[in-house]
Amino acid sequence: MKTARTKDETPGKSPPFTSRFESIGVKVPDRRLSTQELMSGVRMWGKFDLEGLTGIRERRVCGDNEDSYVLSREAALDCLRHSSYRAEDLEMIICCSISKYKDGNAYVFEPPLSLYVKEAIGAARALNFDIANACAGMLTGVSIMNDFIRRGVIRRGMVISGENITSISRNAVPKVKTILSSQLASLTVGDCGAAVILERSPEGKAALAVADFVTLARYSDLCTGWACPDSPGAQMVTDARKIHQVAISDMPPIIEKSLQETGFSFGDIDHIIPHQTSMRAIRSGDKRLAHYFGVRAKNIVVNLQEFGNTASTSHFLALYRFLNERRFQQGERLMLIALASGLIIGVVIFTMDDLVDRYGREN
Amino acid sequence: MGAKIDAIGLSTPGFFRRGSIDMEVKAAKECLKNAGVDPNLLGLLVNTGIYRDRHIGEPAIATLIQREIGANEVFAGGRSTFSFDLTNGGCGILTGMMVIDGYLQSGNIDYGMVVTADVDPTPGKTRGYDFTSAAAAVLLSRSEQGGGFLHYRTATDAGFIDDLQGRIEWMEHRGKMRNILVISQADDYAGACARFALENLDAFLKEVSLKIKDIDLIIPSQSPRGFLKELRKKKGLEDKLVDVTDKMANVHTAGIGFALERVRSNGRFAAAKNCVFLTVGAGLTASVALYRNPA
Repeated sequence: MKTARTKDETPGKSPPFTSRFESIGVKVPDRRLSTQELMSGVRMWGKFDLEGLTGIRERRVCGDNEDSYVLSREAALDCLRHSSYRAEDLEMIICCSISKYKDGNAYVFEPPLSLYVKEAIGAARALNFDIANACAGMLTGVSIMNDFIRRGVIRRGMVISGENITSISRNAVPKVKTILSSQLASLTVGDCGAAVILERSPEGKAALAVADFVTLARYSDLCTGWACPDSPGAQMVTDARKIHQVAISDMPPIIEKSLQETGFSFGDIDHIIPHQTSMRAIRSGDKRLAHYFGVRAKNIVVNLQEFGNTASTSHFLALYRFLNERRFQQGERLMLIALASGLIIGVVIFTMDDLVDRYGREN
Repeated sequence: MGAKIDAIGLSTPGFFRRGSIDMEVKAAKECLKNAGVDPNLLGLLVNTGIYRDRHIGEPAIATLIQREIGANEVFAGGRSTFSFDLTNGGCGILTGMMVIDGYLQSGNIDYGMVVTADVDPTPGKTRGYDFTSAAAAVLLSRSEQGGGFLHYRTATDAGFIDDLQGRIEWMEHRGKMRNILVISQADDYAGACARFALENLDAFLKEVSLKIKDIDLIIPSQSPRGFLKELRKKKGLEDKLVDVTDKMANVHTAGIGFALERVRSNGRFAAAKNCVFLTVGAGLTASVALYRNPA
């Protein structure tokens, strides 16, 4: 794929184009695992109600023939089914999952997972690469692709993630002994694939208003995941209390800066889709934002009861579900908030347009 | 006008410096020092290394580097740094520079740095790991005097998708099941890389309306082993190719940094009008870029 500069591209000036979400696709595994079933294997001191604390009733887990690659591929195909584009129209593919499993338990470093997906769906023209940015992965991919589209380098591309991440739950089960366990947060995750096509906004159509991200690197070691030494898959340790405190306290000024860039006020936002960690974290974030901006958020989208924390796919899984349930209206303004290990805080703001017409017809 | 290269930093293992992150931090600090740039001016930090300490998957390695070099560790309302990891095999460093170039052109940032390193994370356990441990950092800023990176081309040929694979496999190791890094490479992988790289170099030169005689320098990937030898067989390339494998054989993603530093230190880079970056990676993937020194 060629990526030459366009004539309109003037360094340092506002890029000539805007981008928007053209379609969204999702693949959730069929296999369900309730929190009750998961916790039946945990031997803890004292009583502990994970479902009560997090609001997560169940999550999906990959079946025998599912992995990050399969979830990515199936989400990409679902995305294309909702799109006016064919795979060969795509000019860029970015795979953004934390987990990059293929052929079951094999974690792929190279070739990049994006190449396997590109080949599987037949996107022969697309420039492909992988990125990783913890649970902010897909929104980081959106930010990167938004930049390419805005400059006129490409017209459309697909951001994908396939999170086959529940091995961290499986590996945490024998290690969690108290409520203070560093692997407690690992019990909240669920598997999911998601994909989104970004395109150059047609004249007069809504566009991504802002895609801003900040890394608060002082807190980069508060949540770390790596290959488990003695079990298949990965393990993750988290200082959940600290990371929650920092995220909640530092998020509002970053959101405020993003709002200033777009000329919107907090009250202009109709739906906020935060990263889906736990009900308690979302509620305390809601309170903090209300206190900071002096106005309560109109609607906070919560989608974790049946899916848990699906890592980098959580925003697009929530969007997909609510689109299918016809819970959004054209013209409404949405804010996606990334909160991820790193510590990454990011904001994507956009106005809902005719995307709503392509979902939920069967309902 | 594209992104210009302001400085390079390199690092190799030392007595107390064996890990990928330590080496990347040293390379990044040296890079910023060479440029005389405050770390807080960095808008974007992209790590493109593949084989890293403990196979860390979360957080992005770039965030750990950002902390160690002291770049906007907290949000104070003004400047901020955004960090993430990007992988694209041996082409990752060039893909990373292309992404940073874009952010510079959009005016979102003033400086961006790509940092990369590969190490064997578990010596003695790994199968087939043959890359030399090394790290490199390249600092980019917006060129106001023309030049810089002007054109990119990337192509893949999945007919060779299995020819180089790096993956963690759940397998037996000394009588116990373990997660083991396995790197497998087909016999003629280097030849396939060279053929694909040359094919794309030809196509690239047509796109930019240049001939091979117009190119002063070619900065190629320094891996896989035998790749440069195969490239050299092409008539007219020998004098243009930068080869550091005499001192740093089979450096993976950081190889471009070492080649770049060689020609910057001996003055060939500054004297060159047209410089081509030519990278190859698993896939096969070939990425080519044209760079002109700003006036």
